[in-house]
Amino acid sequence: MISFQEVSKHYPDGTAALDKVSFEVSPGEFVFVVGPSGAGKTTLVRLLTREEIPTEGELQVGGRSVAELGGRELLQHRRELGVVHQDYKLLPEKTAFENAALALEVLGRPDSEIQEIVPHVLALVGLEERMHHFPYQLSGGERQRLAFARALAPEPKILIADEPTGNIDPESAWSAIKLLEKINEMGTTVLVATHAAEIVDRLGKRVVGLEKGKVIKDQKKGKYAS
Amino acid sequence: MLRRIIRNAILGITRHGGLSLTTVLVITLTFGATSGLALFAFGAGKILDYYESRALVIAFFKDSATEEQILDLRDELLQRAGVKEVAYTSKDEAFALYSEQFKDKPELLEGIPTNVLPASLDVRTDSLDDLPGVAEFFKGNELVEEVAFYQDVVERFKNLVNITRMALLALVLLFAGISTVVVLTTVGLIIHSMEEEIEIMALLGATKTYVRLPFIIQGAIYGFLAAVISGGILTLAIPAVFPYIRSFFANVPLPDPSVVFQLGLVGLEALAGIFIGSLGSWLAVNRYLKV
Repeated sequence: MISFQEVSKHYPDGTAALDKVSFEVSPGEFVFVVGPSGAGKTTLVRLLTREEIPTEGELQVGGRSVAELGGRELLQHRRELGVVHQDYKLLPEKTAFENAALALEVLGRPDSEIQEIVPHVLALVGLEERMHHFPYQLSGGERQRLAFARALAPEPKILIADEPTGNIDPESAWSAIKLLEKINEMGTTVLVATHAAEIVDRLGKRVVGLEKGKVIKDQKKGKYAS
Repeated sequence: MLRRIIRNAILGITRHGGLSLTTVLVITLTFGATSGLALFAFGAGKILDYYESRALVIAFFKDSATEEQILDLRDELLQRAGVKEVAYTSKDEAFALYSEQFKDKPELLEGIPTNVLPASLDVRTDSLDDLPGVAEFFKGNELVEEVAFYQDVVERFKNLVNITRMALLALVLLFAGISTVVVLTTVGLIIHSMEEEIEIMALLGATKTYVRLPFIIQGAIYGFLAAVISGGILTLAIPAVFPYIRSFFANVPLPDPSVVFQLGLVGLEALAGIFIGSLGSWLAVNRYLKV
């Protein structure tokens, strides 16, 4: 489903964010990409969303080279991904309902369907009582759950979360990860970039370790440090 | 889909209330200044037209010239290209005019025979450029005693009129240019504040048209509102200011600004507002649609 083949990303200032990274993710897998800050986790996510393209190597998703996607194919690719960004990327001028609905609106789903799906996903993340609140009226944990709701609303094939537990308390972080596990059990491929060692160790899922842009480990039931 | 896009455009305006109001006010000011100047230039052009049309050549005829001969000359002149008006003044009419002019100074009228003043033709042309030709026409005629045509004065007036017209046109174009830049920048600023929204929509897989349209509609609404406000203010101001302008140029027959003219002004501004507003949005959104 996702295939990194010798993927490198070098920036014009000479920084090597990723250096010959190779690994594959099968459909329905749950993978943690771990590493300290600056290891290249966010770059990896940005390559998947095609915000950036690799300098070398090939990244394929669903058998298609992401770098070569253009026009309609790129739209389709992005529509198949659900992404929870590190900073959540919520729209401050829209309510929780409208933020979650946005992902469906851009797909051209009818209003009747949006009215049905959005309350459902907001309930799934525990925000059914807060759907008419604006992001600034929500706590950090609630904002993060709203980002999950938006990513989940279109029922993506792949869910990518970049440091989803970075800005929230441990209890909210754990419930977010349990939510990801539940989504994964429903068949969605989940890729989580994180440096939350405790959560990675508790879950015992596949762990791909990055350091200075290189893959330093790939363990089936891995730990953060080992 | 279109309903959703329009709804998003309207939400974009209402949820950015302060910015929207500032944008509309800035555009209103620039539009008001530009259209006010354009109106001034239009009025000044009309006044110049009038004074240009008042320049004339006067031919005074010898006593030997009969009225019939003079009227034949008048008919010949009226056939000539560029001649707008030819007025005949007989010897009697000339004396009557003189008497009327100096009725308060009877000493100037005493002892003057009623046929002492010459008959004359006053010729006005469509353009100042046609006057020298008319003067030449009279100079070669044996019935004509004297031709009153001050070529150097007319030339200087013509230059002044041309320079004034060009200066007004340049000023209007300059203001229109500045106004366009201000509107593009102002709309661009409000779109800039929505940069993240554009980026997020693109990352969610929205088509470029879906991202652009609400912002383009938003820009068009800003432009439209500003144009209607500034056009409305001008429309109200014209009848209030017009009597003062008319009293200042008492001898210039300035027509009343018609309702059609005023509605046309607002309509034209509204179209310009919609066009520039949506263009500003389109340019600004494209800048942030690179994701």
